[in-house]
Amino acid sequence: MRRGPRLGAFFRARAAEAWADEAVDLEIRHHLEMRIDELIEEGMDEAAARAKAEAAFGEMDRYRAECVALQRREERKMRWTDRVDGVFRDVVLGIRGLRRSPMFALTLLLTLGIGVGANTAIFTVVDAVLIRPLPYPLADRLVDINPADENSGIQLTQLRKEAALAWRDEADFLEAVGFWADEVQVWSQGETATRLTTHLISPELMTMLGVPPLLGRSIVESDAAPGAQRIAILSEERWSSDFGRDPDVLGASIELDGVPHTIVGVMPRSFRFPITSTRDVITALGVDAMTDLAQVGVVGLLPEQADTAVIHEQARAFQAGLVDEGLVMAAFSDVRVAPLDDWRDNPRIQQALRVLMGGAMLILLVAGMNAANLLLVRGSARRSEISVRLALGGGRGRVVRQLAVEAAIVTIASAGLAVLVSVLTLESILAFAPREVTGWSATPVELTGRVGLFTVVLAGLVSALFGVAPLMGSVASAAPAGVGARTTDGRRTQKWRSGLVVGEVALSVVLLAGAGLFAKSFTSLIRTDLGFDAERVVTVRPGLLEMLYPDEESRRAYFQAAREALLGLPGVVGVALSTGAPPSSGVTFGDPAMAEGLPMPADQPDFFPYSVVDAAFADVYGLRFVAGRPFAADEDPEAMARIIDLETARWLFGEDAPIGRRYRMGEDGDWWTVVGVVEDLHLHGFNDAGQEIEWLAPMEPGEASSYLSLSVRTSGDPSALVLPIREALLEIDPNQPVDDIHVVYDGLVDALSRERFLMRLMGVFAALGLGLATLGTFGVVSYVVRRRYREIGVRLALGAGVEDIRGMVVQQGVRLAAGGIVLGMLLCVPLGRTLDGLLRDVSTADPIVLAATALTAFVAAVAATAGPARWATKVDPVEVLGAE
Amino acid sequence: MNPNSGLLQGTLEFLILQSLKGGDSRHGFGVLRWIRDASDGALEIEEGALYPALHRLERKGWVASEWGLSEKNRRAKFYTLTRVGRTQVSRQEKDWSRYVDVVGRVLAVASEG
Repeated sequence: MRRGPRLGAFFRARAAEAWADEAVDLEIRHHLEMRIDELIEEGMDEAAARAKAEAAFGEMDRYRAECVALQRREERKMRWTDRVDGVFRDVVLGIRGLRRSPMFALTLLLTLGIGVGANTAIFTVVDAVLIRPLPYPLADRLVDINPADENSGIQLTQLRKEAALAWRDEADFLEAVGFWADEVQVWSQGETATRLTTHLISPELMTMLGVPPLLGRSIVESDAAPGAQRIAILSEERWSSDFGRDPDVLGASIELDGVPHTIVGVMPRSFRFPITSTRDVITALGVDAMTDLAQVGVVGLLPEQADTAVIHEQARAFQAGLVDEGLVMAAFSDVRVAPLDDWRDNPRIQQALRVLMGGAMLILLVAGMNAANLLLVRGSARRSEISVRLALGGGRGRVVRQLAVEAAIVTIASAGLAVLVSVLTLESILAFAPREVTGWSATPVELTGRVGLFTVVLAGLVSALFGVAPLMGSVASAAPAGVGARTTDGRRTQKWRSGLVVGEVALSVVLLAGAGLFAKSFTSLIRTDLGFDAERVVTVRPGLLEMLYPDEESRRAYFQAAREALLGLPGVVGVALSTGAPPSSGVTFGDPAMAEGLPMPADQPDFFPYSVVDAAFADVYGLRFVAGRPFAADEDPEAMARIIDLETARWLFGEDAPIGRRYRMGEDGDWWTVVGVVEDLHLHGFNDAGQEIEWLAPMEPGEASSYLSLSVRTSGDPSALVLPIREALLEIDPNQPVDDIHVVYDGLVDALSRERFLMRLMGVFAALGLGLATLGTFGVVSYVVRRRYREIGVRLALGAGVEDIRGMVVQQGVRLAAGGIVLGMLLCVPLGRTLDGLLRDVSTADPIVLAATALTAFVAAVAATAGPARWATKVDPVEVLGAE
Repeated sequence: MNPNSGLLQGTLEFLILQSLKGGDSRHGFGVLRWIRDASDGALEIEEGALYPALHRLERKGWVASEWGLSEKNRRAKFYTLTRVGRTQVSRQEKDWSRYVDVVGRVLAVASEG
C-alpha cells in the first residue's frame, strides 16, 4: 500500500471513514425501503410494514457497525490501533445496546448498584473498625501496658502515676514509654461554658505515634517542663466546627477549666488517639498536668524485631518489682503487653459486623441472581445474535471480547452507582450507628481507595459471574447458524429463571427472618418491666465544677436552690436527689454479699448496682413496694436501712420474709437491715443481664457530692420539660454547664443503640432483598404470561373465565414463592446460629417470626403476579390467534 | 472447533456467490430475493446478516461493487462477481458436491448396517 505524507493520509482516512459510514447507511436504507414496498404490496399498512421490515432485518446497529468496520479496514492484519479502535467500537455498541432497552439497563444497573453499594458501605465500616492498620508509622511496635489481676482476669487501662513514671524511667527493655489521660474539662467561650473531654498526651507518646500535625506543631519536650505555658492542639473536626478552618487560629487562646491554653496546632482527622477520642482538644501531659492526675495510661515502644514473649516476661518481672516497692497494688502484680488495636478482639463488635457483612452479602447474592435473571431474558435473543456473528466469521475471540467489553461497561456503571449508594448508606449508618460500631475505628469511616477497589472488584465479579458466564456458555455451545436455525431453548432458560427466583425468595426469606428476630428481640427488650416508671422522669447530672463549687457548703446550696427551682416549674410533681440515676446509675464493686445466719450465696455478681437515694426517690420513680416502707426524710444513717428488690431478696434470704432481716458485704462489713422490698428493679436499663442484684441506701441529710443526680417527675410529656429544666438550672448559675440531661426512657432506649442499629439495618436489608425477589418473581411470571399468550387466548376462546386465567397466573407466582419459602426456612436453621448472643428472649426458630416471614414473602409473591395476571385476562383471543 | 462450522460459516457467503454466478449485478435486497426464491422460502435469514457478508466478500476481492440506480430509481449498491470470485464459486461447488457425496455415502453405509 502506498503511503502519502502522514497528515494527508490521516485526512484521507477520516474522509474515507465518513463516506464508509454514509455508504452503509444508504445501503441499509435501500434494503428497508425495498422490503417495505414489498410488504405494502402484500396489503400491509405502512407502519406495520416498516415494523416488520425492521424486525426482519435484525440487530441493525450491530450489522451496520460490522459493515462500517469492514469498509474502513484496509489492511488485513489488524494493527494495535485497530484493536483499540475495535474495543472502542465495542464500547459504543455496548452502550448503545443498553440505551436501546433503558428499562432493562436501569433495572440491571440499579440491582447491581444496590447490591454492591450496600456491601461497599458495610465493608467501609468493617475495614475501618477491624482491618485497616492503625494510622501510626510504628503501629506494629506500639503496645499498651495494662496492669492485670492474674486471678480474676480483670485488666486496668491505667497505672498509678508513680508506677507510670517508673516504667518510663527504668523499663529499659522498651525503647520509649509515653503517657496519656482523659479529663473532663470546661471550655469557656465568652458567656457559654461547655463540658468536653480533653485528651492529655505526653510529648514522648506524641513522637511515638509519629503523626505530623495538619497545621502548626505537635506536642514537644518543652511543653512538658514544669511551669511551661499551657498549650492546646485542636482536632481537625473542632477546628472546622468552631474556627471555620481559619489558619490564624494558631496563637489564639482558649480557656479550659479557667486556665488559658495557647493553640499551637491542629491534628488531622486521621489522628485518633486514644481510640475513644472525642476529637476535640489535645493538651500536653507534662509535669504540671501530672500533678493533678492519680493515674495515666502507659504506651510502650518495642525495640525493633523484639521477641514479644521475652518482652512480656521482662514486663512481668518489672511490674512485680514495682509491687515490692509499693508502687502497685499487689492484686495487679501481673501486666499485659498488648498491641494498641487489641480492642479489635472484642467478640461483640466482631459478631455484629460479621452479621451485617453476611446480610450485605445475601443482598448481593439476591441482586446477582436478579441480574442473571434479567440477562437470561435477553439470553435467547443474544444467543441467536451470537450464532449469527459466528456465522459471519466474527471469530470466537471477537465475540468473547465483545462480551467482555459489555461486562466491563456494566461493571463500571454499576460500580459508579454503587459508590453513590454506599455514600448514602454510609451517611445513614454514621447517623444511626452506635459509637461501639463506628466510633471504635482508628481512622475515620469514609470511602477510601482500597474500599473503591473492593467495590470495583466486587462489581466485576458479580457481573462476570451472573452476567457473562451464561453468555460465554452460549459462545462455546452455539453452533454458528446464521441460516435457518432460530435457537429456541426457552424451556431450559425458563427452568433456570424459575430456579433463580426460588433462590432469591429463599435468601430474602432468610433476611426477613433475621430482621424479624432482631425486631422481636428489640421489642421484647424495651417492653421489659423495669420495676419503675421511666416514662415520666427527666434526670439531670450537673456534675458540679470543682472551681465553682469547691466545698460541701456551696454544693449543698446549689442542690437546695435547684430542687426549689425545679419544683416551681409547671408540670413538675416531684424532685429527687440520688447518686446515679437511670440511664447512668452507679455501681459498687465489693466483697461478696451474704445474709445473716445463712451461707454465702455462691453466684456472686461481678458488681452490685447500688444507689444512694433521698426520701423522694420512691415517689418520683413510682417504685412498687411489695413489703415494708420507703425511706423516711429523717432516716437515721446509723440504722443502715436498705431497700432491696424481690430478686435480691430471694437471692439473699430464699423464701424467708426479708423485712427486718440483715445482710452485709464481706466478713467484716456492717450489717444492713432490709426495711422495704420492691418489685424487680432494673435501674440500669433494659440490657442489664447479670445485674439482677440491686439495692438502695438512704441518703444522709445534707449530702452534697458534686456528682449527685436530680430526678424530676413530670405530670405530662417529659420531653417538653427538658428545656425549661435546663434554663431553670442555668438561671441559678450560668457558668455551671447543664449538658447531662435525659428523659429517662429515651436515655435507656438510646443505651440500646447497638441492638437498635442492628435491627434497623437488618430491616433495610430485608426490605431490599424482598424488593429484589419480588422484582424477580414479577419478571418470570410476566415472561411466562407473554410466552403463553396463545394458550391463554385458546383457553379464553374455549370459554375459560377471567378468574381461571387470573388463578393460573397467580399460581405461577405462588409456586415459585412456596419453593423459595421452604428453601429459605431450611437455610434459616444453620444461619440462625450466627445470631446467637445477639438476640434476647427470642429463639432463632421463633414460630411467630417465621410464620410472619413466610406470610410476608407469600403476600409479596402474590402482589408480584397482580400485573401479569391483569395482562393475561386482557388477552384478546381473536388477535392472538389471528396473528399466528 | 466444531468440524462442521467451517462449512456452515461459509454457507451465507456461498449462497451470495451463487446468486451472482449468472453474471447478474444485484443489490443486497436483490440477493435476498434470489435466495428466498431459489429456496422456496425454506432458508430463513436474518436479513441484516447479509450485508456484513457482502462486505466481507468484497474485502476478499471475490465481489466488486458500484453505486447505481435500482429498478425503482433509488440509489443502491450493486454487487457483481469478480474473476477471483468466479474460480472460488467453482471450487466451492466442487467441495460442496464432494461433501454431499461423502455424507450420502456415510448415510448409505449407516442404513445398510
